[in-house]
Parts: sequence; C-alpha cells; structure tokens
Amino acid sequence: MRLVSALRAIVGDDGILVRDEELFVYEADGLTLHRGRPVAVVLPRDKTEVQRIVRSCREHEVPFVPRGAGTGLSGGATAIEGGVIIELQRMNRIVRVDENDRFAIVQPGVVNADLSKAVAHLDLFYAPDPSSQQACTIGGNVAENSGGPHTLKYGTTTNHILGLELVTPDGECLQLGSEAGGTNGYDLVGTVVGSEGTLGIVTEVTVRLTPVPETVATMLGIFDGVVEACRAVGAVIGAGLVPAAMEIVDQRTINAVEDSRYAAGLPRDAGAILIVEADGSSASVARQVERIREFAEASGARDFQVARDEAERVRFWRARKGAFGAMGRLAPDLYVHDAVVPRKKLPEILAAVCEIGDRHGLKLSNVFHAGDGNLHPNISFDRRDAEEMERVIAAGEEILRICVEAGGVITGEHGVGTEKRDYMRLLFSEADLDAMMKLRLAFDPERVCNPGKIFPTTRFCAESNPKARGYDEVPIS
Amino acid sequence: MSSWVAEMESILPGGVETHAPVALEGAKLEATLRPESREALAASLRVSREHGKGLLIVGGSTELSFANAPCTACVRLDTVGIRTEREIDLEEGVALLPAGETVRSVQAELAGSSFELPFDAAGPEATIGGVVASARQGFRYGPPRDHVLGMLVALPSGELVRFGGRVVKNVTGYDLNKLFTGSFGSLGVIVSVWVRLQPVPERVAFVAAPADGHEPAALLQGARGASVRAAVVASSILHFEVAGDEAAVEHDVARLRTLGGEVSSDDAFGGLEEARHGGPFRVRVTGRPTRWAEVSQILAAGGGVVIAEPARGIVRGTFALDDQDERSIADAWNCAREASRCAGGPFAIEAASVSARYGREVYGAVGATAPLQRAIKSRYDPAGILNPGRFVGNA
Ligand SMILES: Cc1cc2nc3c(=O)[nH]c(=O)nc-3n(C[C@H](O)[C@H](O)[C@H](O)COP(=O)(O)OP(=O)(O)OC[C@H]3O[C@@H](n4cnc5c(N)ncnc54)[C@H](O)[C@@H]3O)c2cc1C
Repeated sequence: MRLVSALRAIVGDDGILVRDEELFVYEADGLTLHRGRPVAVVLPRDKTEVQRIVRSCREHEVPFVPRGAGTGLSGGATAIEGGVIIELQRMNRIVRVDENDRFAIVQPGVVNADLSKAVAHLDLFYAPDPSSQQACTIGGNVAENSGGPHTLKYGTTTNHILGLELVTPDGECLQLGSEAGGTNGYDLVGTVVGSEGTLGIVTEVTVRLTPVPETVATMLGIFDGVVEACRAVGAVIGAGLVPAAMEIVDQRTINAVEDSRYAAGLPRDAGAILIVEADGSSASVARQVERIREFAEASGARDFQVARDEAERVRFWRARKGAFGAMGRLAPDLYVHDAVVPRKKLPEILAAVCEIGDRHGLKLSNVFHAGDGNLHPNISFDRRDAEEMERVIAAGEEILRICVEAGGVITGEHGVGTEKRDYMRLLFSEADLDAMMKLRLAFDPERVCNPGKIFPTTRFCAESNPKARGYDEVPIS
Repeated sequence: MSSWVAEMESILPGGVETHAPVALEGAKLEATLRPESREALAASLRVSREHGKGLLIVGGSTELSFANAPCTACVRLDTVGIRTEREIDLEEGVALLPAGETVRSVQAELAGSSFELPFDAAGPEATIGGVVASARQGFRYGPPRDHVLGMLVALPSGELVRFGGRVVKNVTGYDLNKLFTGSFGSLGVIVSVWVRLQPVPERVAFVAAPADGHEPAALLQGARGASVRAAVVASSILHFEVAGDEAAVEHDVARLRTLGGEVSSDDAFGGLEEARHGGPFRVRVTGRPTRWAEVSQILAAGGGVVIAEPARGIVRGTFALDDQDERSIADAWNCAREASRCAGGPFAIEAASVSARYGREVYGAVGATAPLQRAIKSRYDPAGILNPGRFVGNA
C-alpha cells in the first residue's frame, strides 16, 4: 500500500493533509528562513495512531517530524528532508490533575497557557512560561526545553517534567519517569527533554504543578543606558536575591513598542528599561522590593516604579511581551536570535551586537532575559530581498561568534534545529558531537526521526546555503 | 597482564600498581591505576578498552555499594588525583570543579562568600565526581541534576568530550549532563563539572516538631513551606531547615509553630545525613508526596528504620538484617517493592552487601526501558569496560 493510503487508513480522511495549499503552511515554523515541504501532514488522535504512523513511515522508509504549534524559532518542526509531519495538536487533553501531589498528566498538544488556566482554581500553575505560551504546546516545550521570563527563579521545562510517554523511532511505546519523578537507571526523562524531537514522539507528559505565590510585585526601572540596567541586575543577583524575573528592553525596542499598538507610555529617551518581578510571602516581597529598589537606584536608575494594580503590571510587561509584535510590524519577517553569555559580559556584548546590526544596515533591537544572560537580538527583514537576507545571516553568525568568544553558547532556549546546526562547531569538537550522536543512534539508529536537526551538515561550517547541504553527516567512529 | 601493564606504565608513569588480588564489590582487582592528568586518564581508558580490561571506577568510595553485583572488573581506577582546570567565579555564581576534589574542601573554600556549593556530601571523602555520577541527593539541595551546567568526560574511546557550559541557560545540543549525572560511571569517567552555585541565604533557622499527633497531610503542608529547604521525619520528630530572607524565614517559622515546632539552635541535619547513610541494607523509595506516611509504615512494618522527606516523597528504610540470611534479604527486597507500588514511584537499593545484591536488580523495576538503557551503554562503552556488571541489567 502506498504511504499516503496507509496513513489515511490510520487517521481517516479528516486526519491527513496532502494538497499543496494545505502543505504550504507547514513549510516552515517560526523561523521563516529555512523551508521544506512534507509529503503529508497527519493529525493523530492517540498514541496508538502515532505508533501506527511511525511504523508505516518506517515500512515506507520515509522520515517523520513531530510538530506541535509550529512556533519554534530554530526550524525544528520543519520537514527539511521531506517526509511526513506528525502534528500533535489534536492530542490536546488534560488527562488528569492531582492537586494534592501537584502534578498533571497532559497530552502533548495542550497549549502551555491553557494548562495554567485549567489549574488556576487550585492555586497552582505550570511554571515554564515561554513568551509564546498562548500558542505553543507542552510537547514542543518538552522538545525544546523551553524557558521564559520566570526561568530565573523557576528553572526551564526540564525542572518541571516528572514523566514522559515516548513513542520511539521504531514504534514502541515507553513510559519514562513516573508521576513522582525519579529514575530507574539513566535519567531518560532528562535526556529526552531538549532533544528537539529527534529521539521519538512524546505522546503524554507528566508535569509538576507549582503553587501560585502569595504575592507578586512587578517593578519597572528606567535607565539612561543598558550598561546601568545590567549593573543593577548584577548587583541584585550578586547580593543573593533571586527575583522571579529580570528582563531588559533596549531603547530601539522601546521606540518600536511605543510606535505600535502595544504602546505602554514608556519614555522614548530611556536607554533601557528593566522589568523585575519578585514573589513570595507578602512580608518577603516587600523586603525584596526595597532591596531591589536600592540596587537599581545605586546603579543609576532615573526612575523606579512598583505596579500598584494588575493594570499597571500588564502595562509594565507590555514593552517586553509586545516586543516581537512591535518589531514584526517593521518588516514582513522577524529573525529572533537567541544566545547566552555570562551575565557580567552583557553590556559589552550588547554594544557589540548593536554595532554588528548597524554595520550590516539592519533593523536590530534587543530584549533579553538579563538575569540568565540570555540575549534575543531581533532583526526585522524581508526574506524576498536576497541581498538583505545575506546581511541578516552574516550578522547572525557574527553575533554567535562574539557570544561564544565571551564564554557563552549559541542557544539558551530556542534550540539548534536547522538554524544553528552549522554553528555547533563554534562550541563543540568532532568528539563532542560524536558523543551526542551516540545518544541519537541509541534511540534512532537509522536517523529517521526528525532528520537534519542539531548536527552539522558538513565537516566545515563555512558554507552559507543551508539547502545545498546534506543532513546529519557527522562521521561516526 | 604484562604487555598491558607495560603500555599502561608508559601512559601513567608511577601511576600503575599491580598487586595480589583484592576483593572489592565482588571483583578481584589485580591492579590500581592513578592517573594524574585528564589526558592520561583518557589514554588509560583507551588502552583498557583495547586490552578488554574491566575497570572499577572509584572516587571517594562513599557510594560504592549502590550498584548491581558482582562487578567483573579486574582493575581499580582512582579518580581523586586527576588534575584539571578549576575556576570559581563568584560574580556569576558558577564554578568549574575537578571531579576528584572533595565536596567538603569546596564548601570550606566558599565559606564566608555569598555562594555555597549545592551538594550534600555523604562524608568527608565524598568527591564532586562521585556525587554527580551517583546523583546523590541529600536533604538540603535537591538532586545534583538541577545544579550541573556542564561536564568534561573521558570516554572509553580515549576521547575527552565536553557538554553544556558555564552559563546557566543552555539548550545547545543534547543535554548529556542529564544522561551522565546518575550514570554511575557506566558511560564515561567524569573529569570536571561546571556547577551553578547557590546564594547563601540571609538567614537559616532550624525547627523541630513532634511528628506524632498530626495528620500526615498537615506535616506535608508544613514541609512544603516556600522557604523550607529541608524537612525530614526521623524517630517521630520532624526536623525543618528554613532558609531565605529574614521575612520569608519568619513567615514559615510562624507556620511551623502551629505544628508544635520549636526553633532550635541545633543543625540536626549533619547527624541525619549520617543516619540516612546507614546500612547494611538500605532502600530508597521515591513516590507521591501524599503517600509518605503509608510508605513509611510499610517499610517500618518490614523491620526498617525509616527516614522520610515528605515534600520530596522520598522515604528510606535501613534494615539491620543478617546479610547471610537469604530469607530476610528477600523479605526486605519484597518490602521495598511493596512500598514502591504504594508510593507510585521507583525504588532502589542504595546499600547492601555484595552477596545480598547478587542476582538482583538494585535499580528496581527497570521494565520496558531496559533494552534502551543497554543500547545507550553499548554506544558509549561498546567493550563494556566501565564498571562492568554494576549498571542496569548487570551491564
Ligand atoms: C513570539 C514567540 C515568542 C517565543 N518565546 C519563547 C520563549 O520565551 N522561550 C522559549 O523557550 N521559546 C520561545 N519561543 C519559541 C517556541 O515557542 C518554543 O520553542 C516552543 O516550545 C515551541 O512549541 P511548539 O508547540 O510551537 O513546537 P513546534 O514549533 O511545533 O516544535 C518545536 C520542536 O519540538 C518538536 N516537537 C513538537 N511536539 C513534539 C512531540 N510531541 N514530541 C516530540 N517532539 C515534538 C518538533 O519536532 C520541533 O523540533 C517563542 C516563539 C515565538 C514565535
């Protein structure tokens, strides 16, 4: 039986997309730079269908790519080598919530924000909060080990996953971890989280739920420059305080936001704003706020406000959360970069990032998770303009290089995907990559599950046209 | 052994000792290797692989009896003398620590700074590498996996490989830190580890409350206070360590007073750490927090002395059994299984004599993941030279 008919027999007519106009939207994820067209998209309803789809793909020797909401920013959910996309959005049930043991069992297609909404009446929430949380799925979060503004205190996805159900690349279904966490032998849950959909398809996730803090205070510091804002962040963390979030927005982004419908009434002449959130008992929060205020003022904050109500809290966050939307207005495409440096290096790296953007004549601005040293330079561009594309790619590579030279890494939360696979050698030797490939091969010896991701395509990373390359060509010893 | 010894001596001058067979962990060890550099370590692994010599990897020896038995190694490899880079960055709150260094010495060095090393050591000899390789979790700091940022590891191929890095947020490639943390030296030898340090809390208070006379759920709630860093029930007393800023500590201490808790100047946790490390036969059950009291009861009814951490759902039972008596060993093992079923999570036998472990799976019910775990092991250690016999399924 031909593949498409075999898949149709598994998921039914309403569970498969094969027409060109239907497949078009699956050509890319949030990274529009890299594209690849699948032969079909299937939408399974349960794990048994996922297993059958995987087995069918194996029989027909066709690769498959798991996909959640497609908000990924590194090309992870793109069928770069063709094959079948297995979209998990229909598997979107919250299977069970246990308020006493504080966990929930969810299907992978549950949208991140929906889970927190569903357990809010129990005074619990799901802590990882990527800025895309209104759309992205828990399955995608697991695959990318997603973070968010509140990662500073609460950690990334990996700190909140107790167990996983995984359909392996040969169609077996394994239960990893448990409702209580813990492992028997290797930490397979920790190993699968962050593996970018290359080790199998997650069909159920047991997540830890966190009690909603008694009090939250949101603060806004206005600074003349990014250097002063970064200094405040260093002072707060150096003093042993662990705020829930510390986010910096630079002047370029402030102006883009103020020009957009996200306008928050921020001073356009500010060099940077710092948003800080502290949570805990009310007495503790009051004390944290006072100390943070002292550090901000000593570092040169020209104004420091504490949100008086929810409306003000939302306004403070608007500059941060509206940044992508505001930058997106400036051009048809937005390239959201992601890299991490030691926190103390932030001021010099940011100055260098802006210089790189200016030198390449690009519209570049910065928002970043300052407490973690996680930068997000955003470049607005038009991918139909080939010459501008080249500048975007050249600037991106330069940014990664300076971050690595500063002791940093090339991605803090968006993953490697296709976007950064050829920059892996900036950080890792052949032997390091080979050690990663050993893991891949233990799960997926034929490399049929989401091929073309994470691993460099060539021995050298100088080539610039990603589509001209083969995939996963790391030599295996 | 001789051609192998000669080759090894050329790699580790003065670092190879051959001796009469020494029994350890069921293995008969005929030589001891003491590499002093990471390159020498890597080369010694390669040569061992080429000659098919099984190695028993030894750090501070504090967690040696947490493994399947018997070990079929014939050579002991000591990791404590391996020199490698070291850096403590107090501005960033991160440190690169050699695997052979003791947890105690790093803690002593950090004393007086604004950061602490978030590892609970089993004893003065416990090494950084040992704590990470065994994923040893004490009462205060939670599992090492949460604090490890990066690693340098020597593989049996003779390669030195790095994963992760020095920054606190990182998704560049697979998270092999998670795979190697808790892999008990079955995949590679950890040379050094980047650790995220933890800020020293502004204030620490110890509170002790009687455990009897309270509903388990009330005790669990007390143990879940936002600033409660450690909560342990032992001998009918609930010991708390509350840590954080002044206001947060005050807030939680006031809540614990409603449980009859009294502030004590005593850090009982040092003594508890030792008690929790007892033997000769020790079981650990990790389960749903609300089941902690039932799980404790099952282990106690089976003859175990119980130490429970309600908020983490971890309950340990130490059995004073005669390790030559097959019947009582089987009973304790069955008791662990029953406790694990009640807990809804895994169990493991953390300590037992070699004979008590013989032919049994100390990692508990490994189930359907066993083939995958074996596949991982054979990718990294195809000749099976690292701690042979000691990992899941006697791999
Ligand atoms: C505006 C915007 C803001 C963002 N902000 C953040 C942020 O703050 N922090 C952050 O970390 N990320 C952020 N992202 C990136 C993205 O939202 C996250 O990576 C998210 O986790 C992707 O989820 P998804 O459901 O869209 O997954 P997809 O994009 O569909 O897939 C992502 C990866 O997961 C794999 N995958 C999906 N489902 C499964 C499954 N069930 N089993 C196995 N593999 C699977 C795919 O193969 C792919 O490799 C942002 C993106 C946008 C567009």
